[in-house]
Amino acid sequence: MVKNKNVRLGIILVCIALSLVALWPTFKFYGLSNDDKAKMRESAEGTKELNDLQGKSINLGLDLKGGIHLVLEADVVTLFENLVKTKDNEFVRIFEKAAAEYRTDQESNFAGVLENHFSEAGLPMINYWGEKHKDDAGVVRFLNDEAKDAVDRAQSIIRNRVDQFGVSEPTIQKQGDHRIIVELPGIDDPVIAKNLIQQTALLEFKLLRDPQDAGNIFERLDTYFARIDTLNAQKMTTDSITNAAKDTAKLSGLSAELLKPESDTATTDTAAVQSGNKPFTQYIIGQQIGQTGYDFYVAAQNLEFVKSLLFMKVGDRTKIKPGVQAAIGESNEILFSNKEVHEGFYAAYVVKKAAELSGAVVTEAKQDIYQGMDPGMAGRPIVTLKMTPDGSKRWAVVTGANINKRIAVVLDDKVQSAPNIIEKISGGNTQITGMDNMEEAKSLAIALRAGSLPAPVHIIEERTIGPSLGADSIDSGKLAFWVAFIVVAIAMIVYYRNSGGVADMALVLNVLFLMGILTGFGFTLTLPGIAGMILTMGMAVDANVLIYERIREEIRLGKTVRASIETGFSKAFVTILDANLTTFGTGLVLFQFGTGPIKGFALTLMIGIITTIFCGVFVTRVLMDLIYDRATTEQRISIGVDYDRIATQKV
Amino acid sequence: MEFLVNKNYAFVALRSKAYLVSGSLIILSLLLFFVMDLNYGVDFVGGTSLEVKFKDPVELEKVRTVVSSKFGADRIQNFGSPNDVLIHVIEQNDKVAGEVLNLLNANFATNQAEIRSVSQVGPKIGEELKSSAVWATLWGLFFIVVYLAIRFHWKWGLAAVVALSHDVLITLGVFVVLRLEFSLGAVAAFLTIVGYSVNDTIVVFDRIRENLRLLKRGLTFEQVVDKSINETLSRTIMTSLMTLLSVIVLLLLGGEVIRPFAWALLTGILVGTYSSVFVASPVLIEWQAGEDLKAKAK
Repeated sequence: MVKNKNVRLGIILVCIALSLVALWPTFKFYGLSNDDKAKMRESAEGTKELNDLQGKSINLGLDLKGGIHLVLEADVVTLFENLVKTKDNEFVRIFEKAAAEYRTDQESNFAGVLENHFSEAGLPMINYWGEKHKDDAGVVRFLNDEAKDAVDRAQSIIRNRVDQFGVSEPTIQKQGDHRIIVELPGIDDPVIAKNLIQQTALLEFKLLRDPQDAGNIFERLDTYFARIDTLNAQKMTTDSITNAAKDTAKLSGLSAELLKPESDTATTDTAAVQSGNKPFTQYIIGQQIGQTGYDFYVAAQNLEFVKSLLFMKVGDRTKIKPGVQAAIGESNEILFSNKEVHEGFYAAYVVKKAAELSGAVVTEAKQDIYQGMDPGMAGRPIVTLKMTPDGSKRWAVVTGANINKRIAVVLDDKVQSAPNIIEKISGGNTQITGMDNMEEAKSLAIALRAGSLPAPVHIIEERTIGPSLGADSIDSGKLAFWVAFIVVAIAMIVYYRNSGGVADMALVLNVLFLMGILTGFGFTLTLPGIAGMILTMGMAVDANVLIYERIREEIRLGKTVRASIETGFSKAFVTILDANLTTFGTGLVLFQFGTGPIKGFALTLMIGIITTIFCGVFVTRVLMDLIYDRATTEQRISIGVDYDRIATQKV
Repeated sequence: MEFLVNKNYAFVALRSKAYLVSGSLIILSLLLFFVMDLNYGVDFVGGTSLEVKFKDPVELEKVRTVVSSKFGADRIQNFGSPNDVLIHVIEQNDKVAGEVLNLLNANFATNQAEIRSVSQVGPKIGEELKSSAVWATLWGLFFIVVYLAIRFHWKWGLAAVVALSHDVLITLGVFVVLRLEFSLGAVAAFLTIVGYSVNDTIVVFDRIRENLRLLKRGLTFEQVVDKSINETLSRTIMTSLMTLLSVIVLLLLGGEVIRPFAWALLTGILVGTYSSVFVASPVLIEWQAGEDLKAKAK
């Protein structure tokens, strides 16, 4: 310990000064009223000053300021599967088996699991992921690199998207091998933010099949489903089917027309429906649009069912049923619109499976308002795209060769729009329509600019705290803090008199230092953190209690003021250290294990222990010495000891 | 003001009664735990937990009927005020929050609801959190044993852990009885209890170690322990009181989010104070740990 009195006092004063400097922006920022802030935001300098202040203020956790915490997991199964160009049945069988095993134990390495299953089946992995790799070990290395790379890329793409979206102080960090943690403070609409982050944003342009062909393909499905008997088991109630048929009347301004045979009124004829001779097309409504166009629709309430006919769930993924794929032909694909194109109806499309062009060629994407020739589109939000030179060339070829045909703009396997190609587009500029509002257009433009994710990501944990809850938590936390502070302070004075007052001063400094360290080092204050501070107050006076009880004992033994203080402090010190170090240890464990708010709590607890030891042992000692340094032998310490009783006991 | 000065209560002599009390409380807690189980929060079982604030007070039963018409709603409870409801549904996907809100607003047309917070945890994460909570507790206890083994003797470390397990188990029982939500925050509270209780125990252990010299003057180990507990008694009570005051304030004013946390601390501090006097130190006597520490010191 430093012996010189002035030096010791100096140390304390420096600590106080440092804490005040660290806390000054916080006081200033939170002292401003909303009006003041609004006024400052009017000028560029004011805004800068305000942002500066806020940046230096105490960091509040998401649970206090509101926002979203997401844990995303990259889907390595899909990633690895997408790396394979040609899959045979044997591959699918083994791959799915491995995927199922991996799903039960996510800690395992999927590439390793695959290797086991493929070697067990005696099937070399190089047959599928091969080409450049000598052996299976090389393939496993390659897959692991790909997975790592995919997560890194996903992280930077998500950061890019979030930055462009304009969230202040987002956190995007990797956790383990396959996970990314995203924290967005102060987000009002979690749906838009989540969509922005999670969407793969794979943009593809796919040619539509002629309506005639599409109709035929749908009818092939009738034959297919009629053959397999599963449909009856899954059949929807007659009610909703009839309703769907009646709903066709709602298609506004257009003449509702049924799918071929055109004269057949089967959709209103429940008997025909139930006969099951059109097990698939009974859900599809065809309709003439304009002179040449022909669209197919599915009623909204039937959409999930129709999808369940076509697709199956494999783990987290949705895949087309092999039988359906065979029935519609390997080169074709059935897609649906991303939203209702008419009230109550989604559009269904048959497209050429191979994409003509993908979003990789996009160099620029901007949200805008439609200003073209189509009066129906006036004022609607659009996204305009610019492409790389290669992309532009390809786009010119595709559009030039398919004039008067339709091309589907497909985003993450959902059709955004399916415009008619009117003329050859040679500059590489193109527009995407089909957004509901400007927000959505903006979010799509951002996603397209930032690029598509290399692998789908799934949200496996989400915590959203509304701003009002955060504000309430701060309020109740503050109140509890002050009440606890006052109660403890008064109790100390009542029990230990002037020395209690000294302990209270140490307590004030303790809180000051704790806040100063939290702010100065940019740590985050969370709601459990506030609870930790309140708890720290109770524990902090423990150091003083231990010391004071010791001093009292020494006084009772008849020691002098100076001697009592000296012995009291030195004897209590070991106990204080032992007791606090163990608590520090549990804090450390908590910090290691916890996430977000819990980490905040552990941090406050640990810093609180350090400041408590400092304030309890050092600051209290300096203050006590200041008061009792020149004490005469007759002088008594005001520490709540009954001196009279001691005197009588001695006599 | 002074209290409990120069007292000489015979704590050690009471130890068989204390064992009986502690033992039956622990057995009761375990029974409750196995029969009723903890009220696990969404952190550990997965699903979606929504905190909803209505404009006016609502009937829980009605909310339950409405929500369970569409969701697997396994728990619906008030959260602080009659306007606030905590809804826990099993489903977890992007749309749950919006759908629940629509459902509520369609059924409570005159009493609009607002979603204040959403926690959604996949079952996989739930499992992971569970295992990491268990590991955190075990590591915490391990750290304490090692620390005390170095500073005292491994028997003393084990004695402290016996007392800590006692505190944790009884607090667990209180959680079961009060149906408090067992979440990540509760785990933090349990580890804090461990930290607090060991703190209390160490103060007494420290004094016992200091007083071991009295063995030479003819005192028995029992007498040394009794003397040490008595000497530290006013400190034990004072500190517990101060911390209790803070925690009671937290319980009353800290808001609903922090309430289970505060309950855990309240119980833990009461039980922890009791156990450092009536469990940890008597266990030292049972194990004749005084001789071991003296032998180690030489």
